[in-house]
Amino acid sequence: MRKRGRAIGYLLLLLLLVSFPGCTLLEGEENILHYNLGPEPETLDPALAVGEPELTAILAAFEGLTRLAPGGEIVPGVARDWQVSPDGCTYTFYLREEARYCNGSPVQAEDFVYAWRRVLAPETASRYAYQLYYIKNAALYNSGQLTDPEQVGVRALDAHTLQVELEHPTGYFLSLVAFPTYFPVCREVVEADPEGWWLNPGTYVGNGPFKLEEWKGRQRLRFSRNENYWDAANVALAGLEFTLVEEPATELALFESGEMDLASHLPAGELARLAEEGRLEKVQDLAVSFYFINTTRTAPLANPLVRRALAQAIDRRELVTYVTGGGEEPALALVPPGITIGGKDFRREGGDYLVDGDAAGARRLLAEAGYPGGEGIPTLELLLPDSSEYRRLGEAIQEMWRRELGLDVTLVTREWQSFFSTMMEGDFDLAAVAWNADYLDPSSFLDVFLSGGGNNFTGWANSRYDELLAQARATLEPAARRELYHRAEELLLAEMPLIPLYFPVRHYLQVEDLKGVYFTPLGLVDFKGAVLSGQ
Amino acid sequence: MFMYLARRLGVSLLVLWLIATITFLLMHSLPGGPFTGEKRLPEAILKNLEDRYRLGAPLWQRYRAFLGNLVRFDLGPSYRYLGKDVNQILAEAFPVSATLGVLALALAFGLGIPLGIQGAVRQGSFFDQLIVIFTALGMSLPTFVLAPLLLYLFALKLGWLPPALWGGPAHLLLPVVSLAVLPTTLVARLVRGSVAEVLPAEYLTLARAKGLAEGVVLNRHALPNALIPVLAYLGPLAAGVLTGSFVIERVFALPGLGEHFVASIYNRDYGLIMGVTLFYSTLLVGLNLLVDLLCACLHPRFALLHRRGGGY
Amino acid sequence: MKRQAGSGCGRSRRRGNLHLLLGSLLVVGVVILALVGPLLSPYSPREQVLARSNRPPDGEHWFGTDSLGRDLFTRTLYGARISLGIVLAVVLLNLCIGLPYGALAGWYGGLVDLLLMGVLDVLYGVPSLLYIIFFLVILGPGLTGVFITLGLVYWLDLARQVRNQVLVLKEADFVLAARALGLGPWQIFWQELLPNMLPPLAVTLLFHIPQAIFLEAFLSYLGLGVQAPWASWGALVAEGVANMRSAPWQLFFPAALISLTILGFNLLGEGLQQLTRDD
Repeated sequence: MRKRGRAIGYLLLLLLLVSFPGCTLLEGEENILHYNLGPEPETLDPALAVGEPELTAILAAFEGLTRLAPGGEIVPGVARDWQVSPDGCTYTFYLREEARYCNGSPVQAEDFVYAWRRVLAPETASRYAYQLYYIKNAALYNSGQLTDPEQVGVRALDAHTLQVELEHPTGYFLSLVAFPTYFPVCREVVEADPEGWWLNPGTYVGNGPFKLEEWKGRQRLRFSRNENYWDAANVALAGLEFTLVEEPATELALFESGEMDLASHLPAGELARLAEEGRLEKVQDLAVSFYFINTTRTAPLANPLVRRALAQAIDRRELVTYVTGGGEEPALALVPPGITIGGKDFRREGGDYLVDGDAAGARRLLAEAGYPGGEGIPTLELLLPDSSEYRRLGEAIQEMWRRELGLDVTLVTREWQSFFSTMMEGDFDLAAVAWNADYLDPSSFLDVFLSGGGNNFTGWANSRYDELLAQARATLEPAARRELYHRAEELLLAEMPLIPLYFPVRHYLQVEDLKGVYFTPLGLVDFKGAVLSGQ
Repeated sequence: MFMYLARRLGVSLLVLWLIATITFLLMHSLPGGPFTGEKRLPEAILKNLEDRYRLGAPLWQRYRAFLGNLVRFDLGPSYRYLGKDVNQILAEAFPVSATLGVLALALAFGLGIPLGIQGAVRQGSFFDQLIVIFTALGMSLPTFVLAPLLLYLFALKLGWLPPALWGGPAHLLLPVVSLAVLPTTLVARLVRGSVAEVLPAEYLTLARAKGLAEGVVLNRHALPNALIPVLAYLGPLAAGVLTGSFVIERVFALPGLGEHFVASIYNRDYGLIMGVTLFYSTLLVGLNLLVDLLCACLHPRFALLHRRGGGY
Repeated sequence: MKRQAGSGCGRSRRRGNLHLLLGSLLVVGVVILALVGPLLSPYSPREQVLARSNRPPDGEHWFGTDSLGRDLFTRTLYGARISLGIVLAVVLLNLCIGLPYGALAGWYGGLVDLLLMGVLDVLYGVPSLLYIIFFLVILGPGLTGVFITLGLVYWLDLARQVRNQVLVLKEADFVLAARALGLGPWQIFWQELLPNMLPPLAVTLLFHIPQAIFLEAFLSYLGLGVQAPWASWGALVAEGVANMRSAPWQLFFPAALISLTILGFNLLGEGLQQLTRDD
């Protein structure tokens, strides 16, 4: 059938100069949502996946103990209920008996034990294994210092009761188990083909709302509704079709020609136009865009006054209006809005620690530090990953510093891997990053700046800061913990080993018929509740 | 003849081995590795990755393992697309690029040769001037401008064609045209130049003197000689076009080979880097060999002088 | 290459001249624009007024402004300096490598030829795009990287052409005569060979220029070109493509200038080729 179609295609192409109307897409079932996932998934194995497209596809095919729901709420998934011990270290999950994999076999506590041990086993080499390090002995087992998986703190008390022991009380553990690395896998299919069970729809057995039907390399993934899913009655879509288009401009073109119901990777250059047409929608990402300051390489940057001058001279309002152009919120602190502790939003409670676009103040700080008019500060290097968004932002900030402070900054762009290597070697003065939360807690951001932390590329170390965060970790009472985090953040922003820029948002376009798609705070797209009406 | 062929084959293998070795060494001097992510991973996890994907072994050991696999035509696993072999990835991507490439080449030669001949025969005419300008213009728009422009015009503005994706024949039209523009102009110019060069030759004057019609002189005597340089050019051109174009595959979202030439390096997918390099080089060396043999058969005297390579 | 007897075709020569004239006009025009143009503009190429971003062309900004509110006219002309500078340097660099390499192989022949041409064969077999990206990733993007990588691409064709010509010319009467007079290879090369090879070489070089402009543009498109805030034409066009639908002028002007320049060099090459053929 396909072969013949292609042969006819060649015939038609012989008449290349004759234009003919385009053939529309095959008419499938109407109730299928078309979405562009982005690049080809590296893998669909929940234990191995790390990227956004992979995790989004896995979220459609699997389900964890809990799910995240709009408003940052945590709702039951495979677990219908749970209990936390008074010391916050032991979690007992009660699984629903009706939970099934798409092949009909039941989802049991043993499956979680198997899946989590598999993630942690050194030979699995899971990059996200550290997401499970909260579990007792998990880190030791993963690093090979402990060889007995039985000692990892997860146990099946019976077929439907799972007990988890943690290293420390972890207030956000219930949101962690909603993350794909914590998803259960079907032992028999995984063990039958551990190196490639996810490549074939026949063996890709999940327990989520959708079931993989087809994976056509670098073209598309097709899912149908999983009739064995315990909550199938609440899944309205008949299926999903994910295209694998990498170029945002092409994704937009596909959306505009009606081949896509939802487009969430849009070219930055088009945002202003789309906003004007009134179709653009946005959702806050749990992320912050900032520059690391290397406090150990160029002498003036060791001085907090200089670092604060750099941060204050930037007019973020202008940046988000004209450069990023998507109505993002300027970042005047580190932790983005959207994290709730003790019923209150962490950011709204904390407020701002920085004055935006205060060039005069910045010049005063610089003079106070002994560099009036920027004199005596050598040319600084701003390291950027090579993407036009980072570059344009860098160019704008470079110009602001030149104009307002008389500072010379060179932009150094590197493709991603070189960028990261250069940053690890500390071969930069300033480096641009966008930091995404791993879990719903301020520490996902604040921990970055711990003394000697793996991702603390600033060389900044402060024992008082470390102490505040350690205290916060040990504090169970949410309001008190929030207070400690706020004090740590205030200290960080007074020392300013980073320059916060803005809190990114995700822009998307969707057809009018589409409702109920949920963009999770961690940047994944959840299609469980999506409804295509009017069809 | 057999000896010649055997020697050429031997030299080709040597060339391929050299290319493989240089690429292997260069590839491992790139900063970063296939599993560098957006955040630094804990040491233990890095070590697990090194062990599992044998990234920790000394270079020479890995080189030996690579060569060992290579003689069995096994390019090993991809480091990016887990669970997939490079052979499999190439086998999935090449038919797409080849389909586009063959169509584009057909278009390039089908249009370029007649245009070039007409230009040469009617030298200096208005038509000829048009061809010169046209070929120069065809060479003056980068593909990354041309392809989005065509997409915008024909898919979005006019709505005649689907904007992207790999599917029916209509999906092929825009990419093939974008891909063919440059080769068409190159072929047209090459043919025009070489036909113009042979036209005044003595043997053609002789043929004309014998009273043969100009058309016969052209087809029977002039073209076979004039087209040899074009034929020699076919090898590198075909290798370049058949292995796909990064830009066109990007813009039209086609699952071809061209994307891998850029992405494999960015992803530090060592297996795939070696795969695309060897695939391209083998294709090029093979096509050149074929073209040389063809030239040698057609016209032994010209064969050696006109050999050229290239690709872009 | 065999020299042809004069075709006696005056029209063809005239046409060659016409192409030469048109080509030189375009090329000289662009060069003058690149040299003098920025002086005419009251703006600096990196001065931003964010509130004036994405303005269409008007009396104040002849080519409009870019997405950071910079004057596109000024940036395009500065871009011309960068692009033309790169291309000129690259072409000269290639000449410096390709000419001696090819001449050595052609002149000495035998084992030397076999060896040198063998190396060329290996280099031809390499997918050049992949290697260009290799080098740029290792060296880091920017002007130096672009020079080196582009410098390594085009000399292959050149070396082969020179070698083939030397192979033919060294048997020519005038070279044999010079040899008989006791001139050394160095002198023969400069006095006898080079003047005879120059016209066809110039043609090849002229055809390489558009290719080099192209390649540089492509590298900028990949983000591996000259570092911001400086922008070559390629970088401007790449940015223009991204904003094609919202701000078409950002694509049109730099793209038009690239096209005119490439057209100019192509016509120049075409005309020169015509002349050498007629001689």
